[in-house]
Amino acid sequence: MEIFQYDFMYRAFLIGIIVGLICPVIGLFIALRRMSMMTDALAHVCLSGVAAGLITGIPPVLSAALFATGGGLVIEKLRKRFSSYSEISIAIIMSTGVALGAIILDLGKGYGNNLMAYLFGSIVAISPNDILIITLTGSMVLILIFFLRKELFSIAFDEENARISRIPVDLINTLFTIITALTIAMSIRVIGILMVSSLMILPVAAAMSIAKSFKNAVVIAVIFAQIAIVIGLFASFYINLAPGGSIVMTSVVLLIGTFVCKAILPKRP
Amino acid sequence: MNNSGVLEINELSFSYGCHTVLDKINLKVNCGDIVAITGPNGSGKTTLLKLILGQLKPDTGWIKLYDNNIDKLKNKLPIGYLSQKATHFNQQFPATAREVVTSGLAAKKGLFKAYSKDDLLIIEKTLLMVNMSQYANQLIGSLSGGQQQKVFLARALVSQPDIIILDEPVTGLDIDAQKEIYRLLADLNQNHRLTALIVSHELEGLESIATHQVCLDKKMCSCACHKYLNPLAQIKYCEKKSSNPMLNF
Repeated sequence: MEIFQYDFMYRAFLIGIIVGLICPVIGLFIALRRMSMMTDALAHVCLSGVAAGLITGIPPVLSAALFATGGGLVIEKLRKRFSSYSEISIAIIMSTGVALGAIILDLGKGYGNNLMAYLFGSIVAISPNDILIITLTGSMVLILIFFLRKELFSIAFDEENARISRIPVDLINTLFTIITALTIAMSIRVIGILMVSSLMILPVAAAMSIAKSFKNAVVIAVIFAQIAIVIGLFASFYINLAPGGSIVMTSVVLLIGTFVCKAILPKRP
Repeated sequence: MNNSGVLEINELSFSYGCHTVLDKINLKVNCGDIVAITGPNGSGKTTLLKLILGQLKPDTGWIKLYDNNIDKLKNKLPIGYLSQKATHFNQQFPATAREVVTSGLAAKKGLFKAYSKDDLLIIEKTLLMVNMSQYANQLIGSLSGGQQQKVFLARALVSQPDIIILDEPVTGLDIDAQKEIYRLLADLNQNHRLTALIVSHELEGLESIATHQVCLDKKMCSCACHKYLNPLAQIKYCEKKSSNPMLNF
């Protein structure tokens, strides 16, 4: 196939598969904790990180990861301060992220074209450096999620009970915020800052509507994300579309498909 | 024989600012007791539970579990807890009854440790104890209110705690479901020597299973009505054990 004759497509598929494995798993915990907007806020903080990286010469994925981690930790602090209105923390961080990014970019004019690749994703711009950073970070994130899965489940299902039973909820929440920030930062290369949260939530929404158990929901969400990434990358290559847009639109079609199937197919007893 | 109770509360006082909620409370729960704590709204029932669960610190007095001060049990609290709000969870949460019960073991296992085959066996036996084995693979949101409460009871029991605390366990359930929960608790008490502290604003239904009744009225704990209501459950002091005293799987 023509698509696999290019090195950059191999790189895009490799990163896409890693991202498509991690994003829905993280996204499931985020959605179940009703924190979907946090992914958007952290993605916007990544804008500042990318801008700082472009200007200073640090790999933008790395600087985005650092900024997003910082932003995530501040969100956690603000959530405790505004415990009754925790969404305020998301609005504060989202607007700060965009404002800081705009100022940094204004200081170093001439990076507009590079920035577009991060806003909407780009399969041709993925460098071997990106591959190294994303593979290492992705492996670390997957290992952490695997070992913390029982605590993450308990907190997602009933945080009060988890606290009472002496699960270290604050520690787990902080680790989870860092994991989420790193996942978003490494996903922006393929899917883009503006659409990364969709890859975390859309496959999860589709999976939750048909899953018969939590494990089942994880597997279905990962399968849907992988399908969306593969179809999206093919569409990006052959029809010359932005990969982020085609991946997200495939996810939307899958979501609608599950709703339609659920409505049409008879319920099993 | 050891005369220490499973749970002992001594001269416990607590105030929110200058408003005293609990004043020199004393209570002793022995192995196999089902203690009903009743009282009107604002009498300090929830505050007492928060103190026992370590969510609040007492102004004076102490709480001990088998001679261990509750403050020192930082990592693992051998108390099973069924919250009043347990059934107020996200009904669309994609988890089966078995997965919910399993989550009750997470704290006991500790960080980074996976469930063993023995744990999985305990989970199955706990589901059987609450008569929910046949619903183990069903989504928790698809079960009735009474069935959900039984699943949450199993979650509280699965870690084999020294005592379980139930906060208004039948609130929001219909009469049949209430009877079913109380019947189940009585059964667990007789067959597995369940030790429980049940908080409720009304005694109706609870009196049939409680071995002791404590009336909490604002600033004082009245033990005047402290009596054995269930002749089948005679007071027996348990040997102090390192593991679970009541649930012998």
